[in-house]
Amino acid sequence: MSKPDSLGQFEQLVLTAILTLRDDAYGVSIHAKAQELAKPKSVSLGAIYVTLDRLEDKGLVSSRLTDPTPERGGRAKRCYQLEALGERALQESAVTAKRIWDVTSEIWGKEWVKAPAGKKWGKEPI
Amino acid sequence: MASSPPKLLETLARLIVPPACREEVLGDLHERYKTPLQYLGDLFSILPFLVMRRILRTTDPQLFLTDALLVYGSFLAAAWYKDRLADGSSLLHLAIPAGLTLLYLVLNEALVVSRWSAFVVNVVWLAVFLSSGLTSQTNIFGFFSGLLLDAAIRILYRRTAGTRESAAGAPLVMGQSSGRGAMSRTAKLAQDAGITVLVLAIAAGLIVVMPRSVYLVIVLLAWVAGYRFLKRR
Repeated sequence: MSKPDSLGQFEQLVLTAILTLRDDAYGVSIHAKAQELAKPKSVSLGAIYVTLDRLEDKGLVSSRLTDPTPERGGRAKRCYQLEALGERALQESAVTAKRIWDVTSEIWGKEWVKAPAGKKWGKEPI
Repeated sequence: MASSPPKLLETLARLIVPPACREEVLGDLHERYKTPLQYLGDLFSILPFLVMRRILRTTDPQLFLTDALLVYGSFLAAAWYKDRLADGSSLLHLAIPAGLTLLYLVLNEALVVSRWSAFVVNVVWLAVFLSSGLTSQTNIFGFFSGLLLDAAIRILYRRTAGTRESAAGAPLVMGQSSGRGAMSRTAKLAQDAGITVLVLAIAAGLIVVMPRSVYLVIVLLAWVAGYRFLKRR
């Protein structure tokens, strides 16, 4: 099996969203999940489409069109699912992130919280 | 009751969203619909991404570079024929119409799948070209020669299985013309370079030996024939 490319942060976000959503991973739901994961940053739907295309070109995800549904005005969804290569790439990213987390939390402590909207991420003030 | 977007907005979206992703994108927009303004905001915020997505999917880097060389060469030949290469700055000035022509070719490949979309792309391109003050005889010669050479290159490379798609969905890959499957990468590159130089030489030769009007008519006819041939493939 070929070695997966290393993933960018946004690609990790999108792959994690697809992993979480399982059979219901399509444009709108992936965007909502990615938005949730990226808080407080906002995510554009267009960027999701471009990233999904890139991931599909890399062979990390595959897609299929579902049957049309009335709530979408009789149009089909393009559902995405992780391929084996995509799972491996995400696992490698998660292991690296875990390693970084272990080292930084050892130095800075484990009490990391989200800063108020509009401010940078940071350590909770004592 | 779930609200749905007005028909007029959906028609507008159908007209401007690239056909290859129209189904899922219009469905997603419909699902997210809250107000007409929000729908329009969504549509115009994702449009640049959709166009970029199509361009990335349909543009083969090798074909793009060859096109760039051919198009610039066409403008250079036209300027040389018109004796407008008096100083070095003319070489740089030629890059502007050549760049616009290249942009036209890229958009044409990415977005055009029907007569209607071809009409829209052509009108937009013509509007840009005419309003840019670049409509000189040199540029008109350069543009049509560029299109002719682009058509020639595309005829020489057949559509094969690969990752890049044409706007209609059929993959278009450079460097895989018939009977070259067993060739090494270097041999393919040498062949690509050879074909490019040959096409340029033929075009340059035609410019030198023919009266301008005859050349322009031949270029136009050849381009139309090449375009129709490609559309049938």
